[in-house]
Amino acid sequence: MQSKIRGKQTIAFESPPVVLSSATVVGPMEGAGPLASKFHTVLTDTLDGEKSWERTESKMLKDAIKSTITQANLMEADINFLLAGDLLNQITASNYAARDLPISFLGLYGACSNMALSLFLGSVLIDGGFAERVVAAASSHHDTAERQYRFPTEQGVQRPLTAQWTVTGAGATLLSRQGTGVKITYATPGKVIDLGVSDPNNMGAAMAPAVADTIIRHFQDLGSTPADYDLIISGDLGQIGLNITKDLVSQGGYQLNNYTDCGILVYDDTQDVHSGGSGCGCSAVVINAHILRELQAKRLKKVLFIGSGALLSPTLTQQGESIPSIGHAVVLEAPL
Amino acid sequence: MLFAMVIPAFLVGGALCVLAQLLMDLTRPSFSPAHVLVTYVTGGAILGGLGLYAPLIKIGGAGASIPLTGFGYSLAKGAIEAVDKKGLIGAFSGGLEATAAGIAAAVVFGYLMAVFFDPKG
Amino acid sequence: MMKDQKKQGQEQQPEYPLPIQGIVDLIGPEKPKGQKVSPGQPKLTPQEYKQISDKYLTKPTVLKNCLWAFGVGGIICAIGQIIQNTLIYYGVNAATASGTTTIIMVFLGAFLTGLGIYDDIGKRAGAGSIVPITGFSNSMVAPAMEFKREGFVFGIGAKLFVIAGPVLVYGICASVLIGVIRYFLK
Repeated sequence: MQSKIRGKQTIAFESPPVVLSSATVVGPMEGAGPLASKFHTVLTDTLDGEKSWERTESKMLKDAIKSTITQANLMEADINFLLAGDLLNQITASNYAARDLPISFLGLYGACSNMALSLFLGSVLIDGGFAERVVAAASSHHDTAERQYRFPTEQGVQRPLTAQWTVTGAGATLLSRQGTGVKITYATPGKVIDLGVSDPNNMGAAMAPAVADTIIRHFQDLGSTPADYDLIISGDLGQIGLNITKDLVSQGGYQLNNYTDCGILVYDDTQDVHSGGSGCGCSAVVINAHILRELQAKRLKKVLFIGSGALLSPTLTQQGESIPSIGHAVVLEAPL
Repeated sequence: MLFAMVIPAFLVGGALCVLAQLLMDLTRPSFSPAHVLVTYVTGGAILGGLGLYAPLIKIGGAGASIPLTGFGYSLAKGAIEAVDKKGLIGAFSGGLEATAAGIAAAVVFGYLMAVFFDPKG
Repeated sequence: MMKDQKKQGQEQQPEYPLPIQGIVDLIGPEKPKGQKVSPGQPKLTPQEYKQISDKYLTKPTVLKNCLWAFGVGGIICAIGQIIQNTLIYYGVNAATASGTTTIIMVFLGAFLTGLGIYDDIGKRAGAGSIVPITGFSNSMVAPAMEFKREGFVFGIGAKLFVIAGPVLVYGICASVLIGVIRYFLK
């Protein structure tokens, strides 16, 4: 069998998995942003009739997963595996969503890089012949994340300008071994990199080195350049993280001129989100609602998506530790 | 009569807030609200103990008693007065005795509001 | 070196570029001769990275924040002063008036937090809403409300003191220490 690994850490899929469908469920703030019309479902409030925000997040994730299966005219029984994760301790939202879904469940934690992680591992299962169809999903919720990682939501705190706003959203993608649609052709899982940023209100700076490393590594492993892609998009670096990443990657010898970030696309300037959106839901909803659609319509031919995750724990942050981060890259190509 | 000392209160209170704002904005990693509150209550107590806060109360009125430094000052003042009256045991009882009303109010109102209202996010 | 590729009787032709170090070696100035860089250790040190990333950080709008803090903090204290004056006007003695004003301000802070207004004030006012005793009240009610769904004992009960706890601990310790010093100085 020909080796599917390229260079040090890039995987080339021999039979690239196909995206059959995708679905997103978002909160009201995202539904008022620039991508409003592209989301599958927009909630009218952040609780959506549930007793707590955690339950709402779980329901959003479950609904996104169910929607993507129905959209492909399939049933839950047709899906081999579900790969999902979120930001909560013990990936609560995913576990409780999976509780109501009769699909084998693989819970993952990649912090905000979860969507890329789910897509990557789902692709490996399909390309390796271990599954016919999988659903890859991720979610986050502003209020559940704030309460766990930062401050209670009613506390009068002033967020610094470097802070980002956790997206309330869930996205799911249905990948299949057969069929036509957007393909996942390569993936470069990242290394954990920590260059000493310890301010949880400055995630962009914390995650930039990890994303830059994965990007450089990806280009080197494949011998490709930024010009080979129509768009390079990171998960949730925000405006600040994006600028730093561009700088770091240029020091590595590559100029990123066609580079943007999901955190910048999901909100507009009037929404007062400071540096941009963040959270698993950020890349999950932007990729599933927007990027996949652009690829399906062939307005984009080849996209390099790098999910960015800050692997911090509030406990260790309080102990004075810095924030280790990771970036997982996935290449999405338009159908021929 | 109703507006006596209002301008000094505004100025002194505002100044104490600006000091805290600078603490939060100019420090890296920055002071969180909790750190500011702890620093202010301890600072107020220490200044009260040194006799440096009472003049500020005279000048600023509510502008010095409402910021959390004022709470620290009340704790220190209470301890000092109790020691003068009752001896060493006053050091332990005085502070809480002087601020008992404020603390009880905070607990009761806090509890009631938390019971009757839901967080909006 | 492809150590793990040397199998007996098999032609091993590398199909891809040989492994090249990524950011670990590419980015950052050369380490001085003789200084070992262990594998996996980024060549870019945290200090060097801080210099790069600091260029892109948005600076806090310190002047604007201070003006807001001054204004809102001043107004809250001014309101307290008016309340205190009103109480004295109606015959309450000075010490009781001060204590009662505190209670009223604590109530106002708690109430505005319950209504969901205090965090909107705090967003703009920063320290102007944290420093007055209304901020202390907010720091009790906010976590208690947030964790209400976890019940009355471990939710509301425990979380009321998440921030108020340290304030009381350090305040009380300071006051006891001052009292003890006072005793021994007399």
